[in-house]
Amino acid sequence: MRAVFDISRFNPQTDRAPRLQRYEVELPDGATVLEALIEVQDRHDGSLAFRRACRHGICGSCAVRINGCARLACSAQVSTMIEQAAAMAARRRGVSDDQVEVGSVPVRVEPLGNMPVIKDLVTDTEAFWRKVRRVRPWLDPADPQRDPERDAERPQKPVEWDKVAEAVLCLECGVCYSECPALSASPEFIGPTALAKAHRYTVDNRDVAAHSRLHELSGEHGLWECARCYLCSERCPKHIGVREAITELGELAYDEGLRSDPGAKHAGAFVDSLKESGRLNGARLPMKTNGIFWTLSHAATVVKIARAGKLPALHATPIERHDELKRVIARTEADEDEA
Amino acid sequence: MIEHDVLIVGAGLAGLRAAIAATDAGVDVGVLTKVHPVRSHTCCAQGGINAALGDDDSWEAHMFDTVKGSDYLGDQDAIEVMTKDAPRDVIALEHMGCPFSRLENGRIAQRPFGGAGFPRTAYAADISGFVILHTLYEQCLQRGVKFYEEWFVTRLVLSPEGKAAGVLGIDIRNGRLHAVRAKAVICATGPSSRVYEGSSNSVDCTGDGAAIAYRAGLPLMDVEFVQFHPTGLRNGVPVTEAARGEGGVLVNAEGDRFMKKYAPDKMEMASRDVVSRAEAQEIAAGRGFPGGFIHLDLRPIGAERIKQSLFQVRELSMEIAGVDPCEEPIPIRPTPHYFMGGVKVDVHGASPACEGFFAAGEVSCISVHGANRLGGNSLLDGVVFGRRAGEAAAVYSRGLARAPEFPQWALPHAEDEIKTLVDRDEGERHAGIRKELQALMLAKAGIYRSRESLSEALDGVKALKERYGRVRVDDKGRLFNTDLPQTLETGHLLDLAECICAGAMAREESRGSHARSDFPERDDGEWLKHSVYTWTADGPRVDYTPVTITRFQPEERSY
Repeated sequence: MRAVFDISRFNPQTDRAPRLQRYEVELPDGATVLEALIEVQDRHDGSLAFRRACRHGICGSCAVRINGCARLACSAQVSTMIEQAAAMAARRRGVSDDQVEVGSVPVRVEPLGNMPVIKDLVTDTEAFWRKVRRVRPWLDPADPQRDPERDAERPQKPVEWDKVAEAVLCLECGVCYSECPALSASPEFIGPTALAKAHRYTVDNRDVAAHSRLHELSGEHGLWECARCYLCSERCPKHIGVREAITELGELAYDEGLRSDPGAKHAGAFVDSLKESGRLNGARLPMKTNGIFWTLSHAATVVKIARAGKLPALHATPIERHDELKRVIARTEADEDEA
Repeated sequence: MIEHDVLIVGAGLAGLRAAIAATDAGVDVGVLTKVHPVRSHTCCAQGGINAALGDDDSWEAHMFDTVKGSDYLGDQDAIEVMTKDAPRDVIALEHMGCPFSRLENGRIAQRPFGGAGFPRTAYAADISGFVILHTLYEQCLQRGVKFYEEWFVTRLVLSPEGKAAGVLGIDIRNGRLHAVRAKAVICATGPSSRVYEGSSNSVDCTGDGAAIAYRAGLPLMDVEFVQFHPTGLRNGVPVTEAARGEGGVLVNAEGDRFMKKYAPDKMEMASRDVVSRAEAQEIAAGRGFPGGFIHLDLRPIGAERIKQSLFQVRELSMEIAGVDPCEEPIPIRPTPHYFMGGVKVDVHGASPACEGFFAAGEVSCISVHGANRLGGNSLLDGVVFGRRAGEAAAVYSRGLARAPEFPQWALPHAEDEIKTLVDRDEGERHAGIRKELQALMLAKAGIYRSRESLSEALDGVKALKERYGRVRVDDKGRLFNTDLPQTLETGHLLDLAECICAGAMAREESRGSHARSDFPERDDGEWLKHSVYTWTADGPRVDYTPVTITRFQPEERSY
């Protein structure tokens, strides 16, 4: 199979900006993008830099962006990526898929996003790992002095193991981190990978540090900064429900009374609003989320909105059958208390 | 100059376990690794780790299985240490947070593995090595261990009186060569199986530690013994032995469960050398599937259990072989997998030839695996002897007031060598040499060898070494230059290949993974001894040293 790639080349010591370099390579059927990169390095240009190790999706080294989406190069079939490149080109040009010949559009390979580039496809992961370390990603047990010579293992029932089974699969490959729009907007956001790691230990029945970890995550640039776009869950090469894990962390933090972050207050204000009227109260939601000082400091804006006649009422009219909704909420809260 | 009490090279299972042990012993530790720790090859170990945890199992039984598996070449004092320590080291991993799969009562679950008389392999689904690696890395983070990530070690440096004094390493990120000084050096660089084509190993498993120790004059042991994993997918990615342990069967193209001919009792659960040879014979006799494959049929296990306990295997089979093992058998074949041999060390990981030098994990040879390793014993080897090396290196380093003298000339000399290599504009690149070497070794020094094939292999390796002397690198820059370390890796592979060929040619018997078609029988009278390789300018000198036998006298081996 002959395949054409546009690979991002960048040496900050000599180049002003990254450029795409075209390579045509001959590959066996069933080849992956990683095999293609190795072929380029071996036969075409030994100066191409990328990371790789296990080549079967478990070491997490070779995450790159292919056709604009972050994924592991070792689990991306070249033939599939060629088809994808053609289909994406068709969409860009506003024509139907069959208007663009498969193979006529190069497969684009670029470094991960949300990280500085060291060279070519190699990114600087310093901030990424610093954020992982911030969640204290290790087991913090009640009895740290257990002696392996004398003491047995800490019990963990299969149902308890199931809770961590998905979370432990995280490769820390950086795919979710690369794709996270909240990180693009706010580079100090702790990001999905560290949150997934925090979740792994927080839900482990042998760990007792949930509160301190949740406390750390409930502050600025913590879990509430997530934009809930679900790209992390969608792109994870191990199919981890990363956003679902962040949701669970948020719930646990809220239940632990860690509610000072505007994000937590916003979540609380939503529920209050539903209890009150069944509608989102557009007037109170920002006040409850951001506090009285913020509201006062935005008085001018409020006046402007009022003048335009768009100020929402402080008391919303309840929706029809609001009683039923209230019962649903009460029941849900009771269930949670029981759990 | 960077300086540590204990310098560890390699951050896989053995290196990280050593780092934890040495840190806990109160000495200052630095870990130098060519990839980020969690990218280490340990993450590829799927099946699990052996330990006699059950009340009805015993370390003696584990020891016997290991001795028999080793075809009686393993040193029984060392195997005793490993099997006795196994339970406490596996429990220690659990205490650190390792998420092992569990029984209903919450205790660690264990599964059957090849060559074992008892289901004693603790596991985490089929990602056992992966979760152990991450657990150990996180324990190192908690302890604040200093890592030098993406540093490539080029040389082991000895003091004038022959003690380990440190290493030279390239910081790949900026291309700078550094001297790293230490009181003790622990080499834990892992596998070397990239000497062979189609290896199951990560791309970077190039035997760097073994090669730099060998070049510094330290002896290697038993490197002619290379294990082929019986169930590799088309590109070498292995399917864990647990797939057979859980009930998977091997079938040839005639639909025959052929293992009944080769191992009537244990069938698919015979040791790896036996199963790999059986497959090779079936394929050679024309009873393989097109392309030279055997079928591994997991359907007897049932879809539910496959999805729960072998989910990675299922994913890889679908991705690489295009078959869902819940529905169809997986085409597999033997794949180069594990080096039983390595740098010769004792049960504390200490080299008898060089004070202050320690080794642990796959790069070392103690020898606990002899001529053939049992599945589930490699993670165990790494964790037991990684810990022991860390403890011993800490004790040793505390006994030294200062680090041994680090020769002044070492750094500039190595800088010159690298400069000469990088400045060379003519010549061929390393990649072609590496590919030819790998194909040659698979064809001529693989599962079956003979004097004739090995002599061809040795001549071929020498010719490739000659060509390597004029090798050129493409990347002349310093910034994240991966061309240079990869070129140096190929040099390491060539040295190891030369040892394998020389030792395999000399050993005129068949034992464990070493199968000579011209000497098909084991010969205890002549060959119940370890091969020891020492570097000379003319190639490896091979000497021999006796095997330690304590409890179990050699017997005929059948499964």
